[in-house]
Amino acid sequence: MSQEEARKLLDAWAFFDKHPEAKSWEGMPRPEFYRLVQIIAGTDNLVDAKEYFEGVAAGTITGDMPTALLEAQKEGQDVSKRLSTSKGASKVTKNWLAKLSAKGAEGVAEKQVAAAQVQAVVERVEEETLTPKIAPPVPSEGGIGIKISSGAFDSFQQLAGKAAATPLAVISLFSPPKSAMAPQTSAAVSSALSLPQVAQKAEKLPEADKKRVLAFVDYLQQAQFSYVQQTQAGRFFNVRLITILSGPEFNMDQGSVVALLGGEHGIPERGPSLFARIGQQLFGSLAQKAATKAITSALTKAGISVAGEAVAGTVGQAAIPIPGVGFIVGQVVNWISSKIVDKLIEFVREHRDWVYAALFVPVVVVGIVFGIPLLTIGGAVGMGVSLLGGPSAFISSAGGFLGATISALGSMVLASIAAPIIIALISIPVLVAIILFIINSGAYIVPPQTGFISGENPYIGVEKVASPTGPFRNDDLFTTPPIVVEYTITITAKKGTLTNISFAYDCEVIKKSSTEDCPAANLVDPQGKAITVGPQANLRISPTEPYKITYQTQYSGARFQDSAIIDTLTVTADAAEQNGAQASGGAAIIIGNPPTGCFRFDDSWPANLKANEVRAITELTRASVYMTRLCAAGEIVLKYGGNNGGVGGDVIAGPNIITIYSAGVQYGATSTLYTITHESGHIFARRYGGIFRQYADTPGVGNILICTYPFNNSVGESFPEMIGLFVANSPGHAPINLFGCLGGSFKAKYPGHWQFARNVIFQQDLGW
Amino acid sequence: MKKKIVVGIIIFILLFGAIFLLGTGRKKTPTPVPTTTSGVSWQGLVAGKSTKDQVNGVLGNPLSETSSENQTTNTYSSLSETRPNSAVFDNNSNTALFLRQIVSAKDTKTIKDITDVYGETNTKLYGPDWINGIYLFVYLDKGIAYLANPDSNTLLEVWYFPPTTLDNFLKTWAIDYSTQPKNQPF
Repeated sequence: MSQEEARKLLDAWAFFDKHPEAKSWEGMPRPEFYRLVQIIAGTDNLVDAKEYFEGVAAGTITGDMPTALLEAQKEGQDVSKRLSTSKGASKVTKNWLAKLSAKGAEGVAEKQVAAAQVQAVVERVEEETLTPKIAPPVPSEGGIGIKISSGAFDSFQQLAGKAAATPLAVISLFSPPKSAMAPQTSAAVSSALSLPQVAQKAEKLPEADKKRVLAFVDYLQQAQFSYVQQTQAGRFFNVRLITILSGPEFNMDQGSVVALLGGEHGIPERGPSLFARIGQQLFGSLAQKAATKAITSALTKAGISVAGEAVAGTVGQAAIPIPGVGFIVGQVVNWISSKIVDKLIEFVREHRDWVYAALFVPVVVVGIVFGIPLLTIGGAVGMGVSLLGGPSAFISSAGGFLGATISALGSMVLASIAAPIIIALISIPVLVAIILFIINSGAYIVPPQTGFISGENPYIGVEKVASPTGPFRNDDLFTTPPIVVEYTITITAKKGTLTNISFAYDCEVIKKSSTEDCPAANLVDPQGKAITVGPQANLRISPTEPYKITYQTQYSGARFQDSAIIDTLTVTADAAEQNGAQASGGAAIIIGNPPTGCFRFDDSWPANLKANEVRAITELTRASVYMTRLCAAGEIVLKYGGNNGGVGGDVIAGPNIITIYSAGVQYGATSTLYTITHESGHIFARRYGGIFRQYADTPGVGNILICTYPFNNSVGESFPEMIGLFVANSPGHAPINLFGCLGGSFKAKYPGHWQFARNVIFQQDLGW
Repeated sequence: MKKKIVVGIIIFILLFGAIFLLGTGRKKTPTPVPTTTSGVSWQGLVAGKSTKDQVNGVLGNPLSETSSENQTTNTYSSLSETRPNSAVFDNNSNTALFLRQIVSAKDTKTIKDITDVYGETNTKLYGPDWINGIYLFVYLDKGIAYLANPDSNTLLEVWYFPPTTLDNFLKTWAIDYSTQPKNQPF
């Protein structure tokens, strides 16, 4: 890309920044433009993309390979595909940019064609990249949580759906299912357009769109009876089609599209496989236009469960990093569904006699192993008959009406028997293999995701840093000058310009026996101008220019002795694809010995996450008996371990060291509290081996494992789990999915454990 | 047709071959390395020497009995209501190969009782509960091991076996244990 071309793209960018209401520039729609520049720059980050084009425009970046790809290559990644995509996009973009100045009717037409070519490339790349996006599940109303790797758990759920879908798809070869419409789908189905209605409306569309919609209608009708067709959903159900269906001509929301896919008899009619595939695109593409809650609602409305991965994809883009395990398993499952199953089905069709013969092998084996001659002989005869042309041919060869009748009946019976056995042959080994894979890779503590304190938002980034970070001594409160902490908050627009921005500030002083007000915080903008909380008139934050707020706070006097001070800034703004997006950033400082028990933070903690952890520990310290006993044997060092996939925490670094990973501290208050409490339970078990032994020897307690720890469960894990649940599942805490297997509450499900925790360990009610 | 018959015969041959191999090549339960010396005595019972009758006579009637091809495992009541004592017998000789004594809160036996007699051991193994501070301390040459949390001086189990090598001990009696902690997140 030349300097001039890069400048033109930057001009376009500046136009979009200055005109947030503008939908396109020179025929290029805004979303496609943002995607295009990222594709060319080989990144999924607008800031990096802009830096790249600025470098090219200034002549400081030369060469064919974008900076992001160069860096990725240095890290050992295979960037060949991304580079090829980048070059392809760059080529059509050059062509489009060259035609921008074209005049006359012919020139305008050429310009439009060139712009369409660029959009087509973007669309194709979108389609290629949308499909594999599989991410953790949607937080439920009250938040969710799983104890295993979220990726593993989600994939397990997907697998269950797909494993169930596979037999259904195979069965459909023999007799297409006619599922009764689930009651909860009634509303969506009745309010949705039927296929003929969609076809009728398509007649009014421009020719290209009309063809696209009609092809899809045709496809849907075929897919009802063809598993192979279902696997080709991506060819028909693409981004453009989604845009059309959600556009003014059809005005369909996701629930309506879901219902349309389901057909007259509800979703299952056209097959879970089809829905799973289309769902990925539907929710993947429209995700940015709708809040998670709306999507969940759409799914609920349509009564869909098989589309879990699609919703997961939505939220994956929204907030949660995609865990490796889930991605891999998802890929494996997809690959198995699309490749092996199809081929098996074709093979079965072509070699029906051999398959029938194979069905008799287990019969022969059982006959031999258990010494049942009837089975051995019967199985052998069955194999022979099958190989000699199948029951139909064999019996028919005997001739006569009776033979033909028996043949027909025999075929039907054999087919009805064969179907489930084939299904078992196909699905059970796959299911077992993948379950084993998940079990072997998923024994982690992954905290639930609920009520983000300072979790990531896909549109707004808020990072808060305190300097100095402390900890401070109580004596520092009485020096001159006293403790002065400067907070810097960096707000980043991650996807497009932020408008309609509003700030909210919150601060709390956590002390053991009293409450204190925070000192005043005088927020100032980058120009040093005072900022008041609330709506910020005329403020816009561009993706390329992060907005910084700073303020200084003084802490002095006895009122801050032995305290933890946590303050949080919450930003609410309209992003290009979501109104009212919200993100928070917090920071915590510690003075003296706040009520964080014997937990000592090392210096590895980011301010935001430390604030979350301090808050959780503060709550844990309300369990004063437990904390006193836990801490009697000395301090516990809290390390922050960064991103470790789905792992929330561990205590393997040392007997008095707890390592908390990002997944164990950024997914909400209950999650964070649960993780730290569980890990502290291991240290309690170590420090109080006698109590652990008493637990193990108590009938109804030591011999019953707690369900919320589903992998590698043991007495040694159920013990800290009991401690974690007694605190984090106590009344007043947001419910999380992890605790779903408890039914009502920990106390109701495991009264023996609860009693043991209450009487032996905590000796307090803690609100129960 | 002829081809199918030939293939069918081949399948039968393969099938019977597989069954034959399965029958003869079935994995056998590992048998402990024979030893010439006996281990430590527990209530007069010695692993590698005491008979099933003798063990039943001391530990009482078995609560359960589980047999495999070569061995039988019996459980016996202990002072713990959830963790029973156990013994593994050789089916051919009917002698006890391994004895597991459960130490509950109601017992008076301590780690010190063992270390006072046998001294400290350098063989410390990491098992499922190492994360809770519980390790298996093994005296290979004496035929005794104990499972305990040394930080809080809590004894959980005592194992008795014929003296053996570390390798054989890990393969035979301590398959869930290793010489290094497994870095598995909990």
